[in-house]
Amino acid sequence: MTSSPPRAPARRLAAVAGVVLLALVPLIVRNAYVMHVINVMGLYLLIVTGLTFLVGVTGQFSLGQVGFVGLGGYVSVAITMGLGLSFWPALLAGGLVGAAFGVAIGPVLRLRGHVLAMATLAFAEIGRLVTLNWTEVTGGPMGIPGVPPPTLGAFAFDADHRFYVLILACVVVNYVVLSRTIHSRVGRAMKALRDDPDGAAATGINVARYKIMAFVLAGFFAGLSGALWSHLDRYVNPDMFDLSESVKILTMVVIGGAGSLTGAALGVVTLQTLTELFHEFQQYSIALYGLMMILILIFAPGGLAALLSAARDRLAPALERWRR
Amino acid sequence: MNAGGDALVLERVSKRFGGIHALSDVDLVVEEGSIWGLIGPNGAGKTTLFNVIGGVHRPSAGTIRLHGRDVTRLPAHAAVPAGLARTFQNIKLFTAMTALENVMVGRHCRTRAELLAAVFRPGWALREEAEIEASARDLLEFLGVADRAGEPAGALPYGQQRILEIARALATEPRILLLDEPTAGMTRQETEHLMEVIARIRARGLTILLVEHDMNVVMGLCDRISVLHFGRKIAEGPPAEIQENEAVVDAYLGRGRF
Repeated sequence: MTSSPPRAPARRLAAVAGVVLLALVPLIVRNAYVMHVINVMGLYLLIVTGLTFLVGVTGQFSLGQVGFVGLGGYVSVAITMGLGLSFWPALLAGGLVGAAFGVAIGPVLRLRGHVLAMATLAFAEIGRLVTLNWTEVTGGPMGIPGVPPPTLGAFAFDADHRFYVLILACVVVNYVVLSRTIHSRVGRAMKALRDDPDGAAATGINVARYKIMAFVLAGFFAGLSGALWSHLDRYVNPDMFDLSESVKILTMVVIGGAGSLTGAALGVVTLQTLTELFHEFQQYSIALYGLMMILILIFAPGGLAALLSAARDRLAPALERWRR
Repeated sequence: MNAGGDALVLERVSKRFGGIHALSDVDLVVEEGSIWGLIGPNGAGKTTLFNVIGGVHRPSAGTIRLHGRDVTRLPAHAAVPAGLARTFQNIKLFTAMTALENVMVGRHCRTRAELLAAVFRPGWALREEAEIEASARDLLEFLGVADRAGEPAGALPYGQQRILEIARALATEPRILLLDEPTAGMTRQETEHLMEVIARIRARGLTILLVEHDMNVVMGLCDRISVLHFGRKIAEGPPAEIQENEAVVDAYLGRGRF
């Protein structure tokens, strides 16, 4: 009912149990292909949670989240391959460069609605064109192959079931940070400016500041995802910035339900599973995303998260009776 | 400088939008602890004056002082911690948030937990969050809408939405409260309740600046009244005097009676 997290101890226990179960996944899943698909889901999740936060909590919009992903990817590779440093500063730098561009995009945030969407789209396209044409630094359309895997002492995260641990750790941090932010004074200010920016300003909220903060958070995790992605694939190329990826990420947000972190996971798992199942129809994927988005917006505007909580509300009385 | 008892001082405040002079050389000295009425025909510049005082618009000329402090160039969000709060003619609540959350947002400028505190939840931040909720509940209680705490603000009846907007404004701990047509669209009963609420707010020591069309409310509540017409102040005085003022009658009824 209120913004304070209810039944904190029970929820925390459930969350810890969930993380432990997730940590066991590489011991259960022995198939390398399935493990790779799960990793990719985790990488999408880092981006989708940020966008669902932007759209659902702050009421902002972005078609340029892949711009942050690509930046994180290229910057982290520049650090591990160009400077020869280890993966860990590169990972952090990937996140920080995403966050920094979240601040840089600030002036654009005076724009609203579809004008903002176009501006963020342009941001991602600029990234794609720069990496495509700045051949001596970025390798141009061929990209940069041979990116080294992360290592910790003698241990190398050089296979999907090993790399999974890194992704899971980042996803856990991502969920804790975003969900705690939503249920805080900061999240309240963001929801307020989403509902009525003038009313928020008249209530003492620095609207521009909290919009930028939301883009910084989303940019950080998207940049983190890019740094992980390039070192998982051992490869970066300008396709990271592709518009079709932006559309896919947005579709995941809509399917899951904007503003819901649980919904983000549902959206990512649903859409990525479909993508893998219908691999041979890849050229129709954009049409499929569009169709799914339209269907969800017509029949379940709150996304899968809203359907889930509606189902829970229906089941709760039955469950209560069963307990007695 | 602050003359001791003046909550709000406007000196020759003007506002132009292109060629339109929305406000021309408005002087206003609002006494601390008073209920000050601001009336005038439609388009007289009342809401523009509120927007200029509240930092939504920057005045084209003139100065605005709040308890002696120059707030002329402060943006809207910075005017609030300086002690200025307002409500809107067309209600601007956070409709998807609960009534309680709306008032909790009002505590924003008096509290300090930012991103790091939100993530790491140190003890002081948890205590602050509890304090925010408790004082928001107190305010809902004070204004008689506590039973609506958990409902989305947008689902409240119109009259209660206006009350809730006042609760949100009070949560910012203002010294001066600007109410823009608070009884617009209210029933007789709701209006009477609101008048009683305004009187109780004044009893807490707040200064209230009130734009209002309902003359019963204006005459019943206000200590003094300023009258705007075409962006100029044409009269000022206690309610009884204003009612008799010829310029005011002219402004409302139009000239050509002689």
